[in-house]
Amino acid sequence: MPTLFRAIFRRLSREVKRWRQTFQGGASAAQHSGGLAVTNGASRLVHIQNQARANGQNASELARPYMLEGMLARIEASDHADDFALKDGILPHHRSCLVIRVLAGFRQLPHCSGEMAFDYGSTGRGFKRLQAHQNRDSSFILVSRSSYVGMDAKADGGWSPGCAARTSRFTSHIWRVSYICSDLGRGSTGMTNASTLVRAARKSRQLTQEQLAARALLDQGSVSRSERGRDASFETIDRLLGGAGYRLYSAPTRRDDAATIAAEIRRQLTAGDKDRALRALVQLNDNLVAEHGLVRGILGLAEPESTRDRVWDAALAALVAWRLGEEGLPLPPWVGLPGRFLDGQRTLEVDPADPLPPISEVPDEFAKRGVFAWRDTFESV
Amino acid sequence: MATTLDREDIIAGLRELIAELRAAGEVAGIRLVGGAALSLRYFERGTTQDLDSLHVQPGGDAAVAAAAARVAQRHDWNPAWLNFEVTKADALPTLGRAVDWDTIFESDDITIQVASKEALLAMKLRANRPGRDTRDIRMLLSLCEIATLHEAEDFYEGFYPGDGLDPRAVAIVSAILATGALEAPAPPGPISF
Repeated sequence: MPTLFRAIFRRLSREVKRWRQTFQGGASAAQHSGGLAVTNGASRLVHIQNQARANGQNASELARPYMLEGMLARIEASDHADDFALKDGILPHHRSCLVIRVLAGFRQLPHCSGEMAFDYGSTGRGFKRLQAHQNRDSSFILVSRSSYVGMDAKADGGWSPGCAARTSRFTSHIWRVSYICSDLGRGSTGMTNASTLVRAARKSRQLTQEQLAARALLDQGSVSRSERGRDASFETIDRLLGGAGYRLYSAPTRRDDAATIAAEIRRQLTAGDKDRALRALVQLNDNLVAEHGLVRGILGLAEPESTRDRVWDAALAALVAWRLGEEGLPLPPWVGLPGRFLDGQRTLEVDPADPLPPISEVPDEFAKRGVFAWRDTFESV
Repeated sequence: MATTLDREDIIAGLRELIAELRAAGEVAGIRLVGGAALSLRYFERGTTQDLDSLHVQPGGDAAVAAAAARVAQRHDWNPAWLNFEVTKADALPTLGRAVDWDTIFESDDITIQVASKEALLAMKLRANRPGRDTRDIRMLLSLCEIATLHEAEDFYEGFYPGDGLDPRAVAIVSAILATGALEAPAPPGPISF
Protein backbone atom coordinates (compact mmCIF):
# COMPACT_ATOMS: atom_id res chain seq x y z
CA MET A 1 0.00 0.00 0.00
CA PRO A 2 2.62 2.62 0.92
CA THR A 3 4.44 1.92 -2.33
CA LEU A 4 1.26 2.35 -4.31
CA PHE A 5 0.48 5.67 -2.69
CA ARG A 6 3.96 6.98 -2.95
CA ALA A 7 3.88 6.23 -6.64
CA ILE A 8 0.56 7.94 -7.12
CA PHE A 9 1.38 11.02 -5.16
CA ARG A 10 4.83 11.44 -6.58
CA ARG A 11 3.18 11.44 -9.95
CA LEU A 12 0.51 13.89 -8.87
CA SER A 13 3.04 16.16 -7.31
CA ARG A 14 5.12 16.16 -10.48
CA GLU A 15 2.09 16.89 -12.60
CA VAL A 16 1.00 19.79 -10.43
CA LYS A 17 4.47 21.26 -10.42
CA ARG A 18 4.74 20.88 -14.17
CA TRP A 19 1.44 22.59 -14.66
CA ARG A 20 2.43 25.37 -12.32
CA GLN A 21 5.61 25.95 -14.24
CA THR A 22 3.60 26.05 -17.41
CA PHE A 23 1.07 28.39 -15.93
CA GLN A 24 3.56 30.74 -14.38
CA GLY A 25 6.54 30.40 -16.63
CA GLY A 26 4.94 30.26 -20.04
CA ALA A 27 6.24 26.93 -21.24
CA SER A 28 4.35 26.10 -24.36
CA ALA A 29 2.81 22.87 -23.27
CA ALA A 30 2.77 20.25 -20.62
CA GLN A 31 3.90 17.29 -22.58
CA HIS A 32 2.67 13.80 -22.45
CA SER A 33 4.28 11.88 -19.65
CA GLY A 34 3.94 8.38 -18.34
CA GLY A 35 0.81 7.59 -20.29
CA LEU A 36 -0.99 10.72 -19.07
CA ALA A 37 -2.97 13.10 -21.20
CA VAL A 38 -1.33 15.93 -23.13
CA THR A 39 -2.46 19.39 -22.04
CA ASN A 40 -1.53 22.67 -23.62
CA GLY A 41 -0.73 24.81 -20.64
CA ALA A 42 -0.37 28.09 -22.50
CA SER A 43 -3.73 27.85 -24.23
CA ARG A 44 -5.37 26.84 -20.96
CA LEU A 45 -3.80 29.86 -19.33
CA VAL A 46 -5.31 32.12 -21.98
CA HIS A 47 -8.62 30.36 -21.60
CA ILE A 48 -8.55 30.83 -17.84
CA GLN A 49 -7.66 34.50 -18.13
CA ASN A 50 -10.40 35.11 -20.69
CA GLN A 51 -12.89 33.23 -18.58
CA ALA A 52 -11.90 35.26 -15.52
CA ARG A 53 -12.22 38.54 -17.40
CA ALA A 54 -15.59 37.60 -18.84
CA ASN A 55 -16.99 36.68 -15.44
CA GLY A 56 -15.23 39.34 -13.41
CA GLN A 57 -13.37 36.65 -11.49
CA ASN A 58 -9.84 36.27 -10.27
CA ALA A 59 -7.75 34.16 -12.67
CA SER A 60 -5.94 32.41 -9.85
CA GLU A 61 -9.28 31.48 -8.34
CA LEU A 62 -10.21 29.80 -11.59
CA ALA A 63 -6.81 28.21 -11.95
CA ARG A 64 -7.08 26.42 -8.67
CA PRO A 65 -9.96 24.13 -9.58
CA TYR A 66 -8.37 23.60 -12.97
CA MET A 67 -5.30 22.21 -11.27
CA LEU A 68 -7.41 19.98 -9.10
CA GLU A 69 -9.32 18.81 -12.08
CA GLY A 70 -6.07 18.11 -13.83
CA MET A 71 -5.00 15.89 -11.01
CA LEU A 72 -8.24 13.98 -11.18
CA ALA A 73 -7.95 13.61 -14.93
CA ARG A 74 -4.49 12.18 -14.53
CA ILE A 75 -5.63 9.76 -11.89
CA GLU A 76 -8.35 8.69 -14.26
CA ALA A 77 -5.85 8.18 -17.03
CA SER A 78 -3.41 6.30 -14.87
CA ASP A 79 -3.19 2.63 -14.04
CA HIS A 80 -4.42 3.48 -10.56
CA ALA A 81 -7.80 4.84 -11.56
CA ASP A 82 -9.66 2.02 -9.89
CA ASP A 83 -8.02 2.82 -6.60
CA PHE A 84 -9.85 6.11 -6.33
CA ALA A 85 -13.45 7.06 -5.79
CA LEU A 86 -15.49 10.16 -5.21
CA LYS A 87 -17.45 9.86 -2.06
CA ASP A 88 -19.79 11.47 0.44
CA GLY A 89 -21.89 14.12 -1.25
CA ILE A 90 -23.13 16.85 1.04
CA LEU A 91 -25.27 19.68 -0.18
CA PRO A 92 -25.07 22.64 2.17
CA HIS A 93 -28.35 24.50 2.02
CA HIS A 94 -26.73 27.90 2.04
CA ARG A 95 -24.62 27.30 -1.05
CA SER A 96 -25.64 26.07 -4.42
CA CYS A 97 -22.77 23.73 -4.52
CA LEU A 98 -21.98 20.14 -4.10
CA VAL A 99 -19.27 19.06 -1.75
CA ILE A 100 -17.55 15.97 -2.93
CA ARG A 101 -15.10 14.01 -0.95
CA VAL A 102 -12.52 12.09 -2.84
CA LEU A 103 -11.03 9.35 -0.80
CA ALA A 104 -7.82 7.94 -2.06
CA GLY A 105 -7.57 4.20 -1.82
CA PHE A 106 -10.46 3.93 0.56
CA ARG A 107 -9.76 0.39 1.60
CA GLN A 108 -6.36 1.25 2.96
CA LEU A 109 -7.32 4.67 4.24
CA PRO A 110 -7.08 3.99 7.98
CA HIS A 111 -3.40 3.13 7.59
CA CYS A 112 -2.18 5.59 5.05
CA SER A 113 -2.32 9.01 6.66
CA GLY A 114 1.42 9.17 7.22
CA GLU A 115 2.15 8.24 3.65
CA MET A 116 -0.01 10.73 1.83
CA ALA A 117 2.47 13.53 1.56
CA PHE A 118 2.01 16.35 -0.92
CA ASP A 119 4.21 19.21 -1.80
CA TYR A 120 2.17 21.85 -3.53
CA GLY A 121 4.61 24.60 -2.76
CA SER A 122 3.03 27.93 -3.44
CA THR A 123 0.12 26.70 -5.47
CA GLY A 124 -2.28 28.96 -3.68
CA ARG A 125 -4.69 29.24 -0.83
CA GLY A 126 -6.97 26.51 -2.05
CA PHE A 127 -4.30 23.90 -2.12
CA LYS A 128 -3.15 24.90 1.29
CA ARG A 129 -6.63 24.26 2.53
CA LEU A 130 -6.78 21.06 0.62
CA GLN A 131 -3.49 20.02 2.07
CA ALA A 132 -4.56 21.00 5.55
CA HIS A 133 -7.68 18.95 5.22
CA GLN A 134 -5.76 16.09 3.75
CA ASN A 135 -3.51 16.17 6.77
CA ARG A 136 -6.53 15.88 8.97
CA ASP A 137 -8.20 12.84 7.56
CA SER A 138 -6.41 11.84 4.41
CA SER A 139 -9.12 12.93 2.05
CA PHE A 140 -9.94 15.56 -0.52
CA ILE A 141 -13.02 17.67 -0.76
CA LEU A 142 -13.88 19.39 -4.00
CA VAL A 143 -16.79 21.61 -4.73
CA SER A 144 -18.82 21.83 -7.87
CA ARG A 145 -21.66 24.23 -8.37
CA SER A 146 -23.58 22.15 -10.81
CA SER A 147 -22.10 18.78 -11.52
CA TYR A 148 -23.47 15.88 -9.60
CA VAL A 149 -21.20 12.93 -9.19
CA GLY A 150 -23.05 9.79 -8.33
CA MET A 151 -22.10 8.48 -4.98
CA ASP A 152 -23.55 6.81 -2.02
CA ALA A 153 -22.45 5.82 1.39
CA LYS A 154 -23.42 2.46 2.67
CA ALA A 155 -24.86 2.07 6.11
CA ASP A 156 -21.71 0.38 7.34
CA GLY A 157 -19.63 3.43 6.52
CA GLY A 158 -18.20 2.02 3.32
CA TRP A 159 -18.99 3.11 -0.17
CA SER A 160 -20.97 1.45 -2.88
CA PRO A 161 -18.72 0.65 -5.83
CA GLY A 162 -21.71 0.79 -8.14
CA CYS A 163 -22.28 4.40 -7.24
CA ALA A 164 -18.71 5.51 -6.87
CA ALA A 165 -18.04 7.85 -9.72
CA ARG A 166 -14.91 7.78 -11.79
CA THR A 167 -13.15 11.02 -12.37
CA SER A 168 -14.17 11.10 -16.03
CA ARG A 169 -17.63 12.23 -15.03
CA PHE A 170 -16.03 15.05 -13.21
CA THR A 171 -13.74 16.19 -15.95
CA SER A 172 -16.66 16.99 -18.20
CA HIS A 173 -17.48 19.82 -15.86
CA ILE A 174 -14.11 21.43 -15.76
CA TRP A 175 -15.33 25.02 -15.77
CA ARG A 176 -18.11 24.36 -13.38
CA VAL A 177 -15.78 23.30 -10.63
CA SER A 178 -15.75 26.74 -9.20
CA TYR A 179 -13.79 26.74 -6.04
CA ILE A 180 -12.46 24.67 -3.27
CA CYS A 181 -14.81 24.67 -0.35
CA SER A 182 -14.13 27.90 1.48
CA ASP A 183 -14.45 26.38 4.89
CA LEU A 184 -11.93 23.61 4.52
CA GLY A 185 -9.60 25.51 6.76
CA ARG A 186 -12.02 25.87 9.63
CA GLY A 187 -12.31 23.56 12.57
CA SER A 188 -8.64 23.39 13.02
CA THR A 189 -9.18 22.34 16.61
CA GLY A 190 -9.59 18.96 15.14
CA MET A 191 -6.52 19.10 13.02
CA THR A 192 -3.32 17.62 14.30
CA ASN A 193 -1.27 19.72 12.03
CA ALA A 194 2.29 18.88 11.11
CA SER A 195 3.08 22.57 10.90
CA THR A 196 1.93 23.02 14.49
CA LEU A 197 4.20 20.21 15.61
CA VAL A 198 7.24 21.65 13.88
CA ARG A 199 6.67 25.18 15.07
CA ALA A 200 5.96 24.12 18.66
CA ALA A 201 9.04 21.88 18.69
CA ARG A 202 11.26 24.67 17.36
CA LYS A 203 9.90 27.23 19.81
CA SER A 204 10.28 24.84 22.73
CA ARG A 205 14.03 24.69 21.95
CA GLN A 206 14.18 28.44 21.38
CA LEU A 207 15.58 27.94 17.91
CA THR A 208 15.25 30.31 14.99
CA GLN A 209 14.17 28.94 11.66
CA GLU A 210 17.74 29.30 10.42
CA GLN A 211 19.13 27.39 13.38
CA LEU A 212 16.65 24.57 12.95
CA ALA A 213 17.36 24.44 9.23
CA ALA A 214 21.08 24.10 9.95
CA ARG A 215 20.49 21.28 12.41
CA ALA A 216 18.20 19.45 10.00
CA LEU A 217 20.53 20.04 7.05
CA LEU A 218 17.76 21.81 5.18
CA ASP A 219 17.38 25.36 3.97
CA GLN A 220 15.48 27.95 5.94
CA GLY A 221 12.79 27.99 3.27
CA SER A 222 11.94 24.37 4.07
CA VAL A 223 11.35 25.28 7.70
CA SER A 224 9.20 28.21 6.70
CA ARG A 225 7.17 26.17 4.22
CA SER A 226 6.61 23.41 6.76
CA GLU A 227 5.50 25.83 9.45
CA ARG A 228 3.07 27.42 7.03
CA GLY A 229 1.63 24.05 6.09
CA ARG A 230 3.05 24.09 2.58
CA ASP A 231 5.34 21.13 2.97
CA ALA A 232 3.93 18.28 4.96
CA SER A 233 6.02 15.49 3.51
CA PHE A 234 6.87 12.94 6.12
CA GLU A 235 10.58 13.13 5.40
CA THR A 236 10.73 16.90 5.86
CA ILE A 237 8.64 16.90 9.00
CA ASP A 238 10.66 14.07 10.47
CA ARG A 239 13.96 15.79 9.75
CA LEU A 240 12.78 19.09 11.18
CA LEU A 241 11.43 17.47 14.31
CA GLY A 242 14.67 15.55 14.56
CA GLY A 243 16.60 18.80 14.33
CA ALA A 244 14.69 20.07 17.35
CA GLY A 245 15.26 16.85 19.24
CA TYR A 246 11.82 15.41 18.70
CA ARG A 247 10.61 12.25 17.09
CA LEU A 248 7.19 11.22 15.84
CA TYR A 249 5.49 8.32 17.55
CA SER A 250 2.01 7.03 17.09
CA ALA A 251 -0.38 6.90 20.02
CA PRO A 252 -3.65 4.99 20.35
CA THR A 253 -5.85 8.08 20.36
CA ARG A 254 -7.32 10.45 17.82
CA ARG A 255 -7.82 13.28 20.33
CA ASP A 256 -5.92 16.53 19.96
CA ASP A 257 -3.06 17.20 22.34
CA ALA A 258 -2.20 20.36 24.26
CA ALA A 259 0.08 21.69 21.52
CA THR A 260 -2.64 21.41 18.89
CA ILE A 261 -5.29 22.97 21.11
CA ALA A 262 -2.88 25.77 22.04
CA ALA A 263 -2.52 26.62 18.36
CA GLU A 264 -6.30 26.87 18.09
CA ILE A 265 -6.50 29.05 21.22
CA ARG A 266 -3.84 31.32 19.80
CA ARG A 267 -5.80 31.58 16.55
CA GLN A 268 -9.01 32.47 18.37
CA LEU A 269 -7.30 34.99 20.64
CA THR A 270 -5.74 36.63 17.61
CA ALA A 271 -9.23 36.87 16.13
CA GLY A 272 -10.45 38.41 19.40
CA ASP A 273 -12.80 35.52 20.14
CA LYS A 274 -12.28 34.50 23.76
CA ASP A 275 -15.53 32.58 23.76
CA ARG A 276 -14.17 30.15 21.18
CA ALA A 277 -10.76 30.17 22.86
CA LEU A 278 -12.41 28.97 26.05
CA ARG A 279 -14.30 26.28 24.18
CA ALA A 280 -10.99 25.06 22.80
CA LEU A 281 -9.55 24.97 26.32
CA VAL A 282 -12.62 23.05 27.51
CA GLN A 283 -12.08 20.71 24.58
CA LEU A 284 -8.55 19.99 25.80
CA ASN A 285 -10.01 19.29 29.23
CA ASP A 286 -12.52 16.85 27.74
CA ASN A 287 -9.79 15.18 25.68
CA LEU A 288 -7.60 14.70 28.73
CA VAL A 289 -10.47 13.41 30.86
CA ALA A 290 -11.52 10.97 28.14
CA GLU A 291 -8.12 9.28 28.14
CA HIS A 292 -6.38 7.49 30.96
CA GLY A 293 -2.90 6.52 32.01
CA LEU A 294 -0.06 7.02 29.60
CA VAL A 295 -2.31 8.12 26.77
CA ARG A 296 -3.57 11.02 28.86
CA GLY A 297 0.03 11.87 29.62
CA ILE A 298 0.90 11.86 25.94
CA LEU A 299 -1.76 14.48 25.25
CA GLY A 300 0.11 16.83 27.55
CA LEU A 301 3.66 15.86 26.69
CA ALA A 302 4.73 18.20 23.88
CA GLU A 303 5.27 21.80 24.94
CA PRO A 304 2.71 24.04 23.25
CA GLU A 305 3.80 27.17 21.54
CA SER A 306 2.84 30.34 23.39
CA THR A 307 -0.67 31.65 22.74
CA ARG A 308 0.85 35.15 23.05
CA ASP A 309 -1.27 35.67 26.14
CA ARG A 310 0.37 34.77 29.44
CA VAL A 311 -2.95 34.08 31.16
CA TRP A 312 -3.91 31.48 28.58
CA ASP A 313 -0.39 30.02 28.56
CA ALA A 314 -0.67 29.56 32.30
CA ALA A 315 -4.19 28.15 31.97
CA LEU A 316 -2.99 25.53 29.49
CA ALA A 317 -0.24 24.43 31.87
CA ALA A 318 -2.65 24.43 34.80
CA LEU A 319 -5.16 22.28 32.97
CA VAL A 320 -2.55 19.73 31.90
CA ALA A 321 -1.03 19.64 35.39
CA TRP A 322 -4.48 19.25 36.96
CA ARG A 323 -5.67 16.42 34.76
CA LEU A 324 -2.37 14.53 34.64
CA GLY A 325 -1.99 14.94 38.39
CA GLU A 326 -5.41 13.36 38.88
CA GLU A 327 -4.02 10.13 37.52
CA GLY A 328 -0.73 10.36 39.36
CA LEU A 329 1.13 10.87 36.10
CA PRO A 330 4.51 12.62 35.99
CA LEU A 331 4.18 16.16 34.70
CA PRO A 332 5.96 17.34 31.56
CA PRO A 333 8.63 19.97 32.38
CA TRP A 334 6.95 22.74 30.39
CA VAL A 335 4.03 23.07 32.81
CA GLY A 336 6.47 24.20 35.48
CA LEU A 337 8.36 26.80 33.45
CA PRO A 338 8.27 30.39 34.78
CA GLY A 339 6.33 31.56 31.73
CA ARG A 340 3.47 29.33 32.83
CA PHE A 341 2.96 31.21 36.12
CA LEU A 342 1.47 34.68 36.54
CA ASP A 343 2.81 37.29 38.93
CA GLY A 344 -0.62 38.22 40.21
CA GLN A 345 -4.14 36.85 39.95
CA ARG A 346 -5.98 37.08 36.67
CA THR A 347 -9.10 35.63 35.11
CA LEU A 348 -9.53 34.45 31.54
CA GLU A 349 -11.77 37.49 30.95
CA VAL A 350 -14.09 35.66 28.61
CA ASP A 351 -17.20 37.65 29.49
CA PRO A 352 -17.41 40.84 31.53
CA ALA A 353 -20.39 39.41 33.41
CA ASP A 354 -18.40 36.44 34.71
CA PRO A 355 -18.07 36.61 38.50
CA LEU A 356 -14.70 36.18 40.19
CA PRO A 357 -14.39 32.77 41.85
CA PRO A 358 -13.52 32.32 45.50
CA ILE A 359 -10.24 30.46 45.96
CA SER A 360 -12.13 27.39 47.12
CA GLU A 361 -13.72 27.06 43.66
CA VAL A 362 -10.44 27.35 41.75
CA PRO A 363 -8.57 24.11 40.96
CA ASP A 364 -5.25 24.06 42.83
CA GLU A 365 -3.10 24.01 39.70
CA PHE A 366 -4.91 27.09 38.40
CA ALA A 367 -4.65 28.91 41.73
CA LYS A 368 -0.94 28.06 41.93
CA ARG A 369 -0.40 29.75 38.57
CA GLY A 370 -2.57 32.76 39.35
CA VAL A 371 -5.35 31.88 36.91
CA PHE A 372 -8.70 32.31 38.58
CA ALA A 373 -11.05 30.01 36.71
CA TRP A 374 -14.07 28.25 38.13
CA ARG A 375 -13.68 24.50 38.59
CA ASP A 376 -17.08 23.72 37.07
CA THR A 377 -16.34 25.66 33.91
CA PHE A 378 -14.53 22.46 32.99
CA GLU A 379 -17.39 20.17 33.91
CA SER A 380 -20.17 18.97 31.68
CA VAL A 381 -23.70 19.57 32.91
CA MET B 1 -10.02 13.86 15.39
CA ALA B 2 -12.39 16.77 14.91
CA THR B 3 -14.04 17.02 18.29
CA THR B 4 -15.71 20.40 18.02
CA LEU B 5 -18.73 20.94 15.84
CA ASP B 6 -20.03 24.15 14.40
CA ARG B 7 -23.51 24.72 13.03
CA GLU B 8 -22.73 23.39 9.58
CA ASP B 9 -21.20 20.27 11.07
CA ILE B 10 -24.26 19.75 13.24
CA ILE B 11 -26.66 20.11 10.33
CA ALA B 12 -24.57 17.87 8.10
CA GLY B 13 -24.27 15.31 10.89
CA LEU B 14 -27.99 15.26 11.54
CA ARG B 15 -28.70 14.99 7.82
CA GLU B 16 -26.51 11.94 7.60
CA LEU B 17 -27.99 10.57 10.81
CA ILE B 18 -31.45 10.77 9.26
CA ALA B 19 -30.17 8.91 6.19
CA GLU B 20 -28.55 6.24 8.35
CA LEU B 21 -31.68 5.73 10.43
CA ARG B 22 -33.83 5.47 7.33
CA ALA B 23 -31.45 3.00 5.72
CA ALA B 24 -31.69 0.89 8.86
CA GLY B 25 -35.50 1.16 8.89
CA GLU B 26 -35.53 2.85 12.29
CA VAL B 27 -38.17 5.13 13.77
CA ALA B 28 -36.75 7.88 15.97
CA GLY B 29 -37.88 10.92 17.89
CA ILE B 30 -34.80 12.95 18.80
CA ARG B 31 -34.94 15.90 21.18
CA LEU B 32 -31.95 18.19 21.49
CA VAL B 33 -30.98 20.60 24.25
CA GLY B 34 -27.78 22.48 25.08
CA GLY B 35 -25.40 24.28 22.79
CA ALA B 36 -26.41 22.40 19.66
CA ALA B 37 -30.06 23.40 20.14
CA LEU B 38 -29.04 27.03 20.64
CA SER B 39 -26.86 27.05 17.56
CA LEU B 40 -29.41 25.32 15.34
CA ARG B 41 -32.44 27.37 16.27
CA TYR B 42 -31.68 30.54 18.17
CA PHE B 43 -28.39 32.33 17.55
CA GLU B 44 -24.85 32.14 16.22
CA ARG B 45 -22.60 30.51 18.70
CA GLY B 46 -19.13 29.07 18.98
CA THR B 47 -18.49 25.44 18.44
CA THR B 48 -20.00 22.77 20.62
CA GLN B 49 -18.35 19.55 21.67
CA ASP B 50 -21.36 17.34 21.24
CA LEU B 51 -25.11 17.18 20.80
CA ASP B 52 -27.06 16.64 24.01
CA SER B 53 -30.05 14.46 23.28
CA LEU B 54 -32.81 13.23 25.55
CA HIS B 55 -33.81 9.59 25.36
CA VAL B 56 -35.19 8.78 21.95
CA GLN B 57 -38.96 8.50 21.92
CA PRO B 58 -40.32 6.78 19.90
CA GLY B 59 -37.48 4.45 18.99
CA GLY B 60 -34.45 3.51 21.00
CA ASP B 61 -31.23 5.18 22.10
CA ALA B 62 -29.15 2.23 20.92
CA ALA B 63 -30.25 2.50 17.30
CA VAL B 64 -29.62 6.25 17.21
CA ALA B 65 -26.25 5.87 18.95
CA ALA B 66 -25.22 3.20 16.45
CA ALA B 67 -26.26 5.37 13.50
CA ALA B 68 -24.44 8.35 15.04
CA ALA B 69 -21.31 6.24 15.45
CA ARG B 70 -21.37 5.42 11.75
CA VAL B 71 -21.63 9.11 10.90
CA ALA B 72 -18.75 9.81 13.30
CA GLN B 73 -16.59 7.20 11.67
CA ARG B 74 -17.00 8.83 8.28
CA HIS B 75 -16.03 12.26 9.56
CA ASP B 76 -13.46 11.20 12.13
CA TRP B 77 -15.61 12.76 14.85
CA ASN B 78 -15.87 11.75 18.44
CA PRO B 79 -18.08 8.62 18.41
CA ALA B 80 -20.16 10.23 21.18
CA TRP B 81 -20.85 13.39 19.20
CA LEU B 82 -24.55 12.74 19.83
CA ASN B 83 -25.09 11.36 23.30
CA PHE B 84 -27.64 11.01 26.07
CA GLU B 85 -25.49 12.10 29.01
CA VAL B 86 -27.68 15.13 29.68
CA THR B 87 -30.49 12.87 30.84
CA LYS B 88 -28.30 11.70 33.73
CA ALA B 89 -27.58 15.23 34.87
CA ASP B 90 -31.12 15.99 36.00
CA ALA B 91 -30.87 19.32 34.21
CA LEU B 92 -34.12 19.12 32.25
CA PRO B 93 -36.97 20.78 34.11
CA THR B 94 -39.60 18.17 34.90
CA LEU B 95 -41.56 19.37 37.90
CA GLY B 96 -42.69 22.83 36.91
CA ARG B 97 -43.57 24.58 33.70
CA ALA B 98 -43.77 22.15 30.79
CA VAL B 99 -40.94 22.23 28.27
CA ASP B 100 -42.10 23.13 24.78
CA TRP B 101 -40.39 21.63 21.76
CA ASP B 102 -39.79 23.18 18.40
CA THR B 103 -39.81 20.72 15.50
CA ILE B 104 -36.97 21.30 13.06
CA PHE B 105 -37.41 18.11 11.05
CA GLU B 106 -40.38 15.84 10.64
CA SER B 107 -41.12 12.91 8.39
CA ASP B 108 -43.19 9.77 8.80
CA ASP B 109 -40.46 7.95 10.65
CA ILE B 110 -38.09 10.53 12.09
CA THR B 111 -38.62 13.71 14.07
CA ILE B 112 -36.00 16.09 15.42
CA GLN B 113 -36.96 18.76 17.93
CA VAL B 114 -35.09 21.37 19.93
CA ALA B 115 -36.16 22.67 23.34
CA SER B 116 -37.84 26.06 23.54
CA LYS B 117 -35.68 29.08 24.26
CA GLU B 118 -37.39 29.38 27.63
CA ALA B 119 -36.43 25.85 28.66
CA LEU B 120 -32.90 26.37 27.41
CA LEU B 121 -32.58 29.56 29.45
CA ALA B 122 -33.83 27.77 32.54
CA MET B 123 -31.21 25.04 32.01
CA LYS B 124 -28.45 27.55 31.39
CA LEU B 125 -29.39 29.46 34.54
CA ARG B 126 -29.19 26.20 36.43
CA ALA B 127 -25.71 25.43 35.06
CA ASN B 128 -24.43 29.06 35.22
CA ARG B 129 -20.82 28.09 34.49
CA PRO B 130 -18.84 31.33 34.12
CA GLY B 131 -17.31 31.80 30.72
CA ARG B 132 -19.11 28.79 29.36
CA ASP B 133 -22.75 29.77 29.88
CA THR B 134 -22.62 33.54 30.39
CA ARG B 135 -22.96 34.56 26.75
CA ASP B 136 -25.76 32.05 26.21
CA ILE B 137 -27.60 33.45 29.22
CA ARG B 138 -27.22 36.98 27.87
CA MET B 139 -28.66 36.02 24.49
CA LEU B 140 -31.50 33.99 25.96
CA LEU B 141 -32.47 36.72 28.42
CA SER B 142 -32.90 38.96 25.42
CA LEU B 143 -34.85 36.40 23.39
CA CYS B 144 -37.13 35.64 26.35
CA GLU B 145 -37.55 39.37 26.99
CA ILE B 146 -36.50 39.21 30.62
CA ALA B 147 -35.39 42.64 31.74
CA THR B 148 -35.06 42.45 35.53
CA LEU B 149 -33.54 40.12 38.08
CA HIS B 150 -36.97 39.72 39.66
CA GLU B 151 -38.41 38.50 36.36
CA ALA B 152 -35.50 36.10 35.98
CA GLU B 153 -36.07 34.66 39.45
CA ASP B 154 -39.80 34.19 38.82
CA PHE B 155 -39.06 32.68 35.43
CA TYR B 156 -36.58 30.21 36.93
CA GLU B 157 -38.88 29.15 39.71
CA GLY B 158 -41.58 28.49 37.14
CA PHE B 159 -39.43 25.71 35.69
CA TYR B 160 -37.88 24.54 38.94
CA PRO B 161 -40.55 25.04 41.63
CA GLY B 162 -39.09 25.53 45.07
CA ASP B 163 -35.62 26.32 43.74
CA GLY B 164 -34.17 29.79 43.75
CA LEU B 165 -31.50 31.08 41.43
CA ASP B 166 -28.02 30.13 42.57
CA PRO B 167 -26.14 33.17 43.94
CA ARG B 168 -23.65 32.85 41.09
CA ALA B 169 -26.49 32.91 38.56
CA VAL B 170 -27.84 36.00 40.32
CA ALA B 171 -24.43 37.63 39.95
CA ILE B 172 -24.27 36.78 36.26
CA VAL B 173 -27.81 37.94 35.50
CA SER B 174 -27.32 41.13 37.51
CA ALA B 175 -24.08 41.92 35.68
CA ILE B 176 -25.68 41.29 32.31
CA LEU B 177 -28.75 43.41 33.02
CA ALA B 178 -26.63 46.19 34.48
CA THR B 179 -25.29 46.90 31.01
CA GLY B 180 -28.69 48.21 29.92
CA ALA B 181 -31.14 47.03 27.32
CA LEU B 182 -30.06 43.81 25.70
CA GLU B 183 -29.70 43.56 21.98
CA ALA B 184 -31.57 40.67 20.41
CA PRO B 185 -29.21 38.26 18.65
CA ALA B 186 -29.58 37.80 14.93
CA PRO B 187 -31.37 34.56 14.11
CA PRO B 188 -29.20 31.87 12.57
CA GLY B 189 -29.73 30.73 9.02
CA PRO B 190 -32.45 28.30 7.99
CA ILE B 191 -32.11 24.62 8.74
CA SER B 192 -32.37 22.37 5.74
CA PHE B 193 -32.09 18.63 6.01
